[in-house]
Amino acid sequence: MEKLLEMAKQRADQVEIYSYSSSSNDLSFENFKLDKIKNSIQTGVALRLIKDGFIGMSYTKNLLDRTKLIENALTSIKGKIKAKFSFPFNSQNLHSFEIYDKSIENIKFETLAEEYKQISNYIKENLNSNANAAVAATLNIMGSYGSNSIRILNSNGIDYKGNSSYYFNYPHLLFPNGYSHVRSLTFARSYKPMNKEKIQKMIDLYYKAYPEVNVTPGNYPTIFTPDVLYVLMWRFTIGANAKSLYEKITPLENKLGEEIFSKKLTIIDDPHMSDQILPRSFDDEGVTTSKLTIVDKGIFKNFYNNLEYAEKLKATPTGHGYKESAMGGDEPVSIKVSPTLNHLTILPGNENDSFIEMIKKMKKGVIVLGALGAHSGNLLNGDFSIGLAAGLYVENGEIIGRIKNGMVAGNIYQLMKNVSMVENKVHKTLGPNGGRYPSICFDDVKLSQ
Amino acid sequence: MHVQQELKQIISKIDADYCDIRYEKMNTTKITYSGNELTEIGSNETDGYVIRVLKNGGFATIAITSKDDFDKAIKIVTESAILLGRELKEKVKLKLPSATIDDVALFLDGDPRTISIDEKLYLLKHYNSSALQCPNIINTTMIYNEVYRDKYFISSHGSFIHQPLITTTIGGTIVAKSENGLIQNVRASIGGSDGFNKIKNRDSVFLDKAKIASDLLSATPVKGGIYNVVLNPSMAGVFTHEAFGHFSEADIVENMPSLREKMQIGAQLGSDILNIIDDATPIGQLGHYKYDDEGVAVRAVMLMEKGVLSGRLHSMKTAESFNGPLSGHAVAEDNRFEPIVRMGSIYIKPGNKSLDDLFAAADNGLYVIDAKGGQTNGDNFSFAAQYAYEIKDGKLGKMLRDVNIMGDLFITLKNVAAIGNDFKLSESGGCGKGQLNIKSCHGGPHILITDALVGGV
Repeated sequence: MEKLLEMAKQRADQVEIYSYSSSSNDLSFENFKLDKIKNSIQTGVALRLIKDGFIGMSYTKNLLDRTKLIENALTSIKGKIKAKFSFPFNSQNLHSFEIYDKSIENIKFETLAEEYKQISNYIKENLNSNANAAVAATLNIMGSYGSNSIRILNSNGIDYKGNSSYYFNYPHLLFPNGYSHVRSLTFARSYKPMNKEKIQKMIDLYYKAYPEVNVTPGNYPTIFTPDVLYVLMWRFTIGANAKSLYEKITPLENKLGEEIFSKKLTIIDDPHMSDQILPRSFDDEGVTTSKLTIVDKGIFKNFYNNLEYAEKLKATPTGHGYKESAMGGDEPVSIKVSPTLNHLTILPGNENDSFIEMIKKMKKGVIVLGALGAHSGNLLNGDFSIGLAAGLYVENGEIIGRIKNGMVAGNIYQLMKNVSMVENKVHKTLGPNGGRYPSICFDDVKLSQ
Repeated sequence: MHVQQELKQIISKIDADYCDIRYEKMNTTKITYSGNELTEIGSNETDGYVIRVLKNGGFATIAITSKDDFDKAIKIVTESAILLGRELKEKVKLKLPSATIDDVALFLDGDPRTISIDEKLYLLKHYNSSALQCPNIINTTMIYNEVYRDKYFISSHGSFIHQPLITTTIGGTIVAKSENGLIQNVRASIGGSDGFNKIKNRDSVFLDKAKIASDLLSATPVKGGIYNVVLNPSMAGVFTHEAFGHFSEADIVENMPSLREKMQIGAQLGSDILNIIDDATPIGQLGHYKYDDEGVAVRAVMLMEKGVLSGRLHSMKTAESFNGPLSGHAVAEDNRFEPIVRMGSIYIKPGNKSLDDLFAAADNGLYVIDAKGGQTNGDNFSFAAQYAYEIKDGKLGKMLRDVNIMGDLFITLKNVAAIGNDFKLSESGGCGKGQLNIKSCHGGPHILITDALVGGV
């Protein structure tokens, strides 16, 4: 990398190199049995050059030909994309995290296979009290362990490195005829044995949700569980993105300082919380990260940006430049850095409002466990219309069963003004934005069936 | 060293019952406009290897970037296969195709690799500017995306196949905004796998879509409820892909006992006018390829005939476990991935009704136009439309927006009440089954579905 930096500095005014390597080991379990093993060892290098006020980018996965990588970036500069910003300078105050556990190197697939068998056996043993559910349940488990490292170098003296390890397993207990399910996530920096209490909670919820019920269409108080809050936050993060502000396509234009949501909602992005899936002290442009309050008790406080849009809006960089695409799929090095929230948290609510207590307080209501079509519809406007996959029906504080073929719909800028309860606990999710959310109950959500 | 020699040398080091290696170079040219600003331009190359090993009844995969990792990769993937073989009660067996040696030719109407990046930029800028000049249009995201994949496949069974594929598209989002702040957007895309000329002289696509985006500002939000819906070919394609197609992929139903039970060959699942095929064989289609990423020649598969389930899409593994014929549908998106079962080009075969016939049969309902994403979850599916029109007494009425449709696969297939005599296939893909498949092709004629659940906003 140092050689690439030196070579590129001869050809441009400013140089930035982003590189990563990753090793992942995925093991899947389907219908109570081991199914697939996939391994991956990947590398990638992306180069950005600024010359005469214009920026160019190139990338490769295999750094065999440095000259070609530089030439590709110089060719890209010919497009004359203006860059009035500079790459950042070295910071002396980088936060450090203990997120690499060396024991990850000693995990073997046998460890995961054994763990899955134990989870499977526990579930089989404890499903026996309900004959119907026991017959129809399907257990799938996704799991993976591995490590990632990234490095950012630039011609202004930055040489930041970050290593992390991860281990997770994610049992899904499927309802008949599809992928609607209840689930339970275990995440750690290295192997962590199953938590029987969490698995038992998943089984208990499965039982309650098992019967299919028809519900009269109408407006109901509706709990969005942590795993499905990404549907709403996806739309909100588009609205709070500095790129959307610059392009004048956000409903949040001119709303800074205004109360846009319920006072019960405080939304922050905090890359330094150590229990994040991947805490970060610098973003993918080498900008030092820090906590950003986006909504404080319902009041809209900040847009988030990267170097490009901070400059375009004459704002201070917030350190949210990441190489990620909304729909996933692309090679990380191939993605242009854009403003992205990767450590999004909605703060917990009233200490008495546990998930169980929230349900008890509902006379008639809906709980959304999963969504179909989260990516569909008019995201810019904040509209959503999702299939319930699954959605539970609650009557007099008890879960009655699973709603058959239901949809809930609304607009987040209306919906999030009407919050009745916020759970007293935040849960990690594996969804977009590194979301950590409590369950939230919204009033009057439209249900179609 | 020549690729074939190199791959032969690696495969000779692997001690397995079966193994294959795919080496794939990918050259991508991407140009992006955000509004009037060019925000991205460049051409880049990546490459990588995917090695699969079957040993003692276990079948495992590894994807690597660097040649330096070959020995390590072979050790890991072989150990993984042995572990799987030890743990599985039902050992993996593969239905192997006959050994094939082939160097596949590209058939293009205008090879994008020979076109300068300046010409590509000019064309993109022209379409983008055209859309931006329309009334009420305040922003666009418009992307030229050219993906050239050079695939080399070798198997221990004796196959060696070189297959190049090029996909060229221009597409993106057009955003309109009203004075009171309402924002509406539509998608427009053109292109395919048949060359650069496909994307030339297509101004009307972008101008028409810009007008739709503007008209949506005064459209009425649809009221949630049950409707008879006439789907245009884009929507019918997404419906076929999401509601039915994924469950014709054998790897999806393989480990879902309740769904597998329902999806038995010979089961009457749809109305008796419904004929569905997956056919990626015609050269020129977006979804066309000759061999899948297991070296199996793709063939047309009748998936449903007169509403009866008649076929499935297979990999070598699922063909063996279902005792079905090989179909050539195990496809990997790029050099990071193992092949999985995917649709190539799926559609409902045209019927004999005119569009007016369909409106008349719908009587009162919705004419739902151009897909905006879809998803399946087993027996349930959902998909969104870019816009719609009310149908009243068999005639088109006012424009509607925010149409999302949800349904139960088994009920909805039986509610396909009439099929149009027209036909159109999609020009850009984007199926997200684990790997984002940009060649995923679907389409069909207009169709009428009765009693569909529409969730308004």
